[in-house]
Amino acid sequence: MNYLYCAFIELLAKYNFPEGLALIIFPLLPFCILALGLLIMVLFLVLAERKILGYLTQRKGPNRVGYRGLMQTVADAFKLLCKENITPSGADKFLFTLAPLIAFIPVMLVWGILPYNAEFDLMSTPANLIFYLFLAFMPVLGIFLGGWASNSKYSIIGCVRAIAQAISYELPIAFSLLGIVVLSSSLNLSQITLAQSSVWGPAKWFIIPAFIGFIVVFISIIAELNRCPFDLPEAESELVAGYSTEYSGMRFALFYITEYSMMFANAAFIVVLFFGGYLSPFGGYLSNIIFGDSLTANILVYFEQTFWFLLKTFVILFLFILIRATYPRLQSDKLLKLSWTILLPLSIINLFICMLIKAIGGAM
Amino acid sequence: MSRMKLNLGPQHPSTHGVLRLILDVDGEKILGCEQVIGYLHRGMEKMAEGMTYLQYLPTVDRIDYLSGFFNSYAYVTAVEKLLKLTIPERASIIRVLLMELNRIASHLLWLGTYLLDLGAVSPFFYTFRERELILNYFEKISGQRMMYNYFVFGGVRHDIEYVNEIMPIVKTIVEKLDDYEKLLTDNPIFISRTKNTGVLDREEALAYSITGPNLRASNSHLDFRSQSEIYKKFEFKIAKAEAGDCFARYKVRLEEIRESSKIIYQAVDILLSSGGEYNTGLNPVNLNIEAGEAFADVETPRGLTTCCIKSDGSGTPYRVKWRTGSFYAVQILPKLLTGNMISDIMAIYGSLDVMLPEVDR
Amino acid sequence: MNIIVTTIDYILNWSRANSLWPFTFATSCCGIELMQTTASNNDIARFGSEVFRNSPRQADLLICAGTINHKMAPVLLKLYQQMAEPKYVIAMGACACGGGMFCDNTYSVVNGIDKIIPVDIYLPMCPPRPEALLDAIRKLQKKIKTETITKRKEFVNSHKSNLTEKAEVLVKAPDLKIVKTDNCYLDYAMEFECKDYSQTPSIEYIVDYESELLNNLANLKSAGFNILTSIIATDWKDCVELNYRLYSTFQSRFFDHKIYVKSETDSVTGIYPSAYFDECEIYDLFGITFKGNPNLKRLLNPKSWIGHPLKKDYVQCDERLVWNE
Repeated sequence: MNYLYCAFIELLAKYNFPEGLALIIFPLLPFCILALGLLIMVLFLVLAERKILGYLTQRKGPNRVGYRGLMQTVADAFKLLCKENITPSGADKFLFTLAPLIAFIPVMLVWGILPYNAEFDLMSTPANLIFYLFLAFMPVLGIFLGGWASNSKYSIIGCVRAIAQAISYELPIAFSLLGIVVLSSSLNLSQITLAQSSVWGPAKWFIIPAFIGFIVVFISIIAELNRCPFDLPEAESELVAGYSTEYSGMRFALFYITEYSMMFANAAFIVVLFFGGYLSPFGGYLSNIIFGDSLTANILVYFEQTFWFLLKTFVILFLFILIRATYPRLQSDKLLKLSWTILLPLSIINLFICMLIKAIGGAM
Repeated sequence: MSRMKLNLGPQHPSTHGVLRLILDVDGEKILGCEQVIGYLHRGMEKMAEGMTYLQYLPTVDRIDYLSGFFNSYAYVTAVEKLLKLTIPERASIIRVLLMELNRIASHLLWLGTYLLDLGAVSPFFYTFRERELILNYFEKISGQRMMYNYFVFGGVRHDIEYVNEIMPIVKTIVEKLDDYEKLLTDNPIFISRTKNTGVLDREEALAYSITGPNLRASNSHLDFRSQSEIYKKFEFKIAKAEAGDCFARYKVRLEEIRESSKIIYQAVDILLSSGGEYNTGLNPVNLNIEAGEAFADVETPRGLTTCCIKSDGSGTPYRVKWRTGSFYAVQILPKLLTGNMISDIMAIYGSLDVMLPEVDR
Repeated sequence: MNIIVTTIDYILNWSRANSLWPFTFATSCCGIELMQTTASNNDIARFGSEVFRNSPRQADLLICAGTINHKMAPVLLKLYQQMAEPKYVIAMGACACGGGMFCDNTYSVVNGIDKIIPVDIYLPMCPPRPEALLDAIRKLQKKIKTETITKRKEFVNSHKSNLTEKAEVLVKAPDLKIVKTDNCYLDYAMEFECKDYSQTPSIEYIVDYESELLNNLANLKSAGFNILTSIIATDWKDCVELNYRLYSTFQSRFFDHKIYVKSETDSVTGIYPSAYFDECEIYDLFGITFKGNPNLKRLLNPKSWIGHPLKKDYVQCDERLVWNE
């Protein structure tokens, strides 16, 4: 943090601002950057999904609004903002309004937990892994409340499916994460990241010892996100629009944003756990190789770390989109069966393997 | 969630039209189901009574817009029977060729939309891309993409053109069919959703008057093409499966596309090697139709379609009745759905390939 | 002040025009062309409209693809009312614009959806090509870009009161009147000459009501005629002919079993379950009641429909259809 702080103070001094101002602004700055980043990221993630799905099915995707359709989702966002908000007459008005917020607010916090680089780690508490799991579960509560408050049968079925799905897939994730905790001896995401660092790049990434865990977590996270092939709560061809059937305008947009920001956060979560987070895949950092050990290099390293972090995340996101384009949807009963009979045992096996590796590593 | 009534439709994304199902559900389990149809009832049968035989001809394509040629064929043949008209051989071969192409187009659309119902996005786009090849060809010869109005009393409207273009189209489609099979036939999710769901055994299917691919998936050989005069010249196998579940219906339809392509190859060969009249040159405006009745049966992609015309000797039909395959496929829904889960509705209903305009007419 | 309003108008119109999320509403033929428009060759996604919402709450554009009949009309109105403002309507196809092929000679089609809901763009053709639909969407975008907030508000207010009136008319259905004639056990039978129409063997029965139909069909079924392909009803003014068309998968041939009835007959659902829908349809269109049918109801027309349309003496007299004139 020191390098950036010094640089920031220098910048302020250049324009004759008092040094005290930096004390106030500097801690707030990351949060502002994060909130802005979230908005932009979600907008372009939606666009990217539409574009990629388009190209996978031999179409062009949106390409009329702005340069090659870059402004498409901006237009969508504005439109949703100004659309009429309908509250159905039989709905519980208070909960109906509250539900999208309950889904949306934890997502902002989730983004704060992730370590984007060695310094940009806003909520680095000793056990923020558990905090993350807790917050990542919260949107489902919003979905449940919203579906219940809508007073529509499709919404009810959708939200009950969502909660059943979340409960059964939370467990395999938790068990697989225990393997990671054993390997890294930490519940802190930054330390889990650092535990994967080595001079040979990916050699110590946890995907190698905990490969089964990765598969389990990957599948379970797709299920948690309610994405295809596990998109039962909003199964469009069955439940019209699932839990969000009665939502319109901005409230619907909040659900929409929640879905996509959770998608990004969970992809990043996978990267932190299994792909060495912000660590460079080459062992050393390119900035250090080019600029040596200067101040510039040290600042550039942060950006480079963020770059690697985002790059890995996008690869995972691309996989999510690819899977959506490929598979049909599962049946609701088979979905739960998959979790309890296959994924849960696999995650326990993974835990044993991790413990074994740790024990052997410790003995040597 | 306890027991409740769930109203599915008439405007629901995967009923492909305007079917309404009133479901009696316990949680996700279906205990009972009542179908309500008629949301697309256009009074086609009454319409015929106020029109001349020729005026009614263009409208019959709309009875089942995915297989317009079949409806035209049924109507035209029934009128020809009333007129006691025999059509030239070339005309009948052209009719077979176009109907089989139409069958492929219809099955391709079914495949795409069925997978869309199951939640897979991409196959929809792929099959529509291939279907477009056929539609473009139809447009070239008839001037319309879906409502062809190409068959006339005593033959076809024009002699067929661009016959050379058919072979590459069909070859591409059959090649792509292998791709679809790679994507779907071994896909574990697809199998888990379709195998052993909606099992319909042969006796039940016959009792409920199910025909077409749905019946042939239940271990039956019934195909009205094999008795039809115009199909006598062609060699083809009758696609058949034994299980009677959704997967069997899928396999039968894919197999039918392959068999249709064989008929098309033969028809194209005959058309290229020989000439002949394509029309009897009958003036369709003033038809002298005696009192009587005539039936024409044709095997459409959705089962047996019968056009029954009763004439009282005047210029307009006295009564036209359409018997269509989907009408009976809708009827069997409560039998198949009861006891399944809500997510199975789409798997079962979609696999029956119901066309609502054909049901409501 | 004006500058601010026009700027807001510009931004709003820009976002609304470029993000028209259509509602998946398709009744018939045009729906297939609508699907083709989303598919690879035409790709509606280029204009940002590929986000088909299945819930009317989230949709902006109602592409009414296909024929609307009197049974569907209240549904269409309700769906339109459920959509959130701003909402736009494209009447796709000749049927939606003005009844198309079905505007005459038929009793059940609404001649144009503009009798029910306000329409922004008319797209006649039967069915319109996908390119035409894309053009309609472009035209609608142009139209949206000329709107102002105040104009939109006026428009909304003007049609809202209109719609509620229409909804009242639609809901206020007249009572169901079934003209009940006496239960006459076929006191009149008629023979109708028809020969030489096909090779299928046929028998014509002038049926004694009590038992023969059921007996005959049961016998025929045991003789191998295992499919009842359909029941074909014809109104011969003084009686109705019912033709039970059977098919045998063993002998590969059809068999026509005809009876002539006045107003009531036995249901054959016990022998051939497939007759259930047929009988309901004949009850709906011809007014024949079937004794023993598990749930005889109007199948195709709305429950409150008056008369039996396929009777030769049918005259349309329904108050709800006033707007159709």
